[in-house]
Amino acid sequence: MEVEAGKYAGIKKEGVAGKVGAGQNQIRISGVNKYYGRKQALTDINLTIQQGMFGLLGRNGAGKTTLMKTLAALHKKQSGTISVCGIPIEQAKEIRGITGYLPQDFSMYPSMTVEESLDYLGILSGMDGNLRREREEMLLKRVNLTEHKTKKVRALSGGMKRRLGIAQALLHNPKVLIVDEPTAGLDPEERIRFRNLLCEVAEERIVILSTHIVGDIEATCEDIAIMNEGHILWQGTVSGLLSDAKGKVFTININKKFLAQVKKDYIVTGMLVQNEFTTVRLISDKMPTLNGAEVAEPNVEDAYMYCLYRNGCELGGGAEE
Amino acid sequence: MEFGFLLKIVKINLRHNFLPHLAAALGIALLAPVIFETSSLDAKLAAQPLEMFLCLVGAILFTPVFLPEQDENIRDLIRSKQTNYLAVCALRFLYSVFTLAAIIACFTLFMRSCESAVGLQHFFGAFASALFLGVLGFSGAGISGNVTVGYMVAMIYYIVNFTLKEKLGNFYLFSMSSGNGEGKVFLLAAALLLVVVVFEWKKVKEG
Amino acid sequence: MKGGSFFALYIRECKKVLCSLTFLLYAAAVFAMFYTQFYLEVNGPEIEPKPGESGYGMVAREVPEILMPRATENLLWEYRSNSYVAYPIGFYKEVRLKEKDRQKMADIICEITGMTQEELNRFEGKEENDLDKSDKTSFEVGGENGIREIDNNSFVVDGTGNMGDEDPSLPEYHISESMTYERFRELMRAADDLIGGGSRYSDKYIVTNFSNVPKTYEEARKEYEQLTKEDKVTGSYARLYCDYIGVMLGILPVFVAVSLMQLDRKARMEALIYSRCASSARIIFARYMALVSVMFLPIIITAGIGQARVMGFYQGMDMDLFAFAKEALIWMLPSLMAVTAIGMVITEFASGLVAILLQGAWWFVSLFSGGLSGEIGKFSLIIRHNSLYKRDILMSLYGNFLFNRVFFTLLAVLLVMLTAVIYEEKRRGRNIGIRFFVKNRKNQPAA
Repeated sequence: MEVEAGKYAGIKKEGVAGKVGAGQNQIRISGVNKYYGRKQALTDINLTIQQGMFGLLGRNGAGKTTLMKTLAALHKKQSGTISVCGIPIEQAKEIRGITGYLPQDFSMYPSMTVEESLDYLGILSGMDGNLRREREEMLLKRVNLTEHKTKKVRALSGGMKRRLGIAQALLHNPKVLIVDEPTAGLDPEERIRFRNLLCEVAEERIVILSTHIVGDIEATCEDIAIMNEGHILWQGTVSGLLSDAKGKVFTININKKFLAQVKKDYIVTGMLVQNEFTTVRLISDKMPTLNGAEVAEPNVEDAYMYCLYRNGCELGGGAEE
Repeated sequence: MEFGFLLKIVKINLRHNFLPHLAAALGIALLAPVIFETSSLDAKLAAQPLEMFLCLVGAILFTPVFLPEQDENIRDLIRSKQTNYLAVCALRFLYSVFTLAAIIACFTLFMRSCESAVGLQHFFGAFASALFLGVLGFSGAGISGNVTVGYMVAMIYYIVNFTLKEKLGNFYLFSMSSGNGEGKVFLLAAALLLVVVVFEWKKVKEG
Repeated sequence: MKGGSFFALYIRECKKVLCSLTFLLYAAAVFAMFYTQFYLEVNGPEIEPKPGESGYGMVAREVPEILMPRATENLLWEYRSNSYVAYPIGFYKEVRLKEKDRQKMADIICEITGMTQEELNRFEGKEENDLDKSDKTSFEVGGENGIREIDNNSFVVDGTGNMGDEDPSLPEYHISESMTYERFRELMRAADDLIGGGSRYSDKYIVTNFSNVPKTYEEARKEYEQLTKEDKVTGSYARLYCDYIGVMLGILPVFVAVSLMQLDRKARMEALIYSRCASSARIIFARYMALVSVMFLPIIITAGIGQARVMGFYQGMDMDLFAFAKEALIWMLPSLMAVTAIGMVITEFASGLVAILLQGAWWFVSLFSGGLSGEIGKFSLIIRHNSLYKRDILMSLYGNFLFNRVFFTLLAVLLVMLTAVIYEEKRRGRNIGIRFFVKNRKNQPAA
């Protein structure tokens, strides 16, 4: 997956990433701790992120946004080291030059048009006029907003705003793209389109995607990490996660009246109600002592739940509150 | 809506939204005796601190009525709740009215205890001026959706009262200080009319 | 980074300011102030004084023979009723002295009049005479007695009400023959200290209060010459223009600055901007320069109109073509710069509302504690000169004036630099500053 620095000719031209060493297309995080006051938000994070899509999975409040903001030099860590493509995170200006960031909750000046907003952010990235126009045009086409470019930001739909968000994050052709919960609040069609866009983009850079929606990860990422309460619980490939859960997922057909008991005893990841019977999908280390239980092929959702379960996380109502 | 429920809303708002503004308003009220003479004044002189200074309390109290929901997201969230958003704003407006009346009443009584020639008329006049200035800020903030604009409108009108003076006619805030307070009823009526207009406007615009 | 990109950013920021509602309000207020206070009031040339006219108005001139008896009389009245008028920060205040201070005041009066304590006590025994309070109405008067002022719609509370001449009910007294004027003024200062400052006996008020005399033809002539020759007409008017506009510039820019600084957060665009590579200094300075230059536009326009109007009234005279522009730059610009910078730094450090409250308080105190003219403090934000005349006083304080303006300019630049530092800290996720009156601010991201 190594790509020469020469590929980023556009950035070189802007003089933003001049100090990037060749061949260092990875993010190295080691021993990172971060506190908000007394509360520890990140605990001893060690991660290496390679080029391509990287998924950060975890429930709300797991520390995903904190980690991503730290990677974008928007938060200070208290200890540990981070280097992004060879640049220590402390060199905020250089980091900002090679990083594109799309926050979870964002908007733009409502009275500006799509075009004007991109232009404004391009200027803040130190791009000159010709390059801005060139990139703007290209990106608007790519995110399918060309015909809306004279629309005011306040008139955009949620999905359009997200796409504009991705366009702004890619504007200065960053080596690293950090997107925080990008699909939250999108309809299924928009969500799929957005995922595809991210995959395309990831062909030429590091893309870090955080989400609490397992489907996003399943569809896009090869490498993932699972976070909980500021810790990294698991890291590896999606297939690795799946194979960990092999033989731990079961399906069973039970009468409705036993449902409550089953839910109490096991971790239920899915249910299908059919008349009096319910097909239940559950996680267990051992074969359940229930009649008719069958081993099932785990999906990523099951594997994720199993990972949380194995690490002793409270799994009251499932991962997604 | 039942009464207990309303009371709860008021309590939450008082605690989370109102306290800093109340502190600023009290600060101004406490500063008044430092800047102005308050004892042994005749009716005209006694009107000065009441009209020229305490009217600022109105601007402090009423302008931020829409502040908590200035953020679009929060406004949408609040509006999606069962309780009518504008009703919550109206409640805030009402307790601000009571607070204003209380502050001015206390100050008037204080001046009276200092043997200044103040009476009910002074209280009413000062209240009308403060309410009108406050409602200007409230309207500016409500219509523009920007609290800063509200404060600015109130401030500009305050300055205009020093430059145009009686030329403002019934809209002159400091009329008692110059010897006639007939315009006060008019100020009060204008303030109430503005409040109604702003609420109607909000209703139409934001549903 | 390249200068071209700074300029591009500056232009975008200018556009943001120009399109903001607060700027439109600011511009409207400046135009309205200019129109009602200057344009309408300056409606003809000053009349050239001719010898042999019945009067030329009054002037406050330090004449010990007039000042000493009048001040003494007033002091006796106030002592007798133990009620002293003062304007500590511009507002009317009545001060009553405690017994100890009252005794000290008695000592002062005894020294001036040569009376004994017993004789003075007899004064006190007289029935209380109703003090006519009508001349104490503050907040009204602008011009000083007799001197032709262009306008009397001013912000300053005037302390010039003269007590009537001889009052029949006041027993006879004399000013001690050995009393020198210097000693008298010293005693007056002591009396002012007892009252707590800002009294009619203070250096600030004593001459205008007790030594108003009719202007002579020569004096009137000299004034007119100063207006037409030394100030080249427009110079005088430019000062008057600055007097009015300065009042607006003492407060209104803060609103425009606050709303620009809050725009990013309101639009939820903070993180997008924080993550770009433009340096904080660059962003903050581009915004600051945009604010100042856009807000200077209404000043330049009204100054141009003012200059044209004045020149129309004095056709054929030798006039300074750039007087308004000059004063706008050295008098108005520093005020605009300082107030804008204060708005920015406090908004960034605390919140917009705190900025408005603090600036409002400073404006209030600065405006009402200053005189209408003839006082230029080294650190007073608002400099006033509500007169076409009195060039002498202004020139005698010109050192203060320059110091003041340079001070506020430097302060402004310093505060903007501080704003950039705070901005950078916040951008890196360090929470510095205090949070008052702030709703919906996320200090701790829910991640």
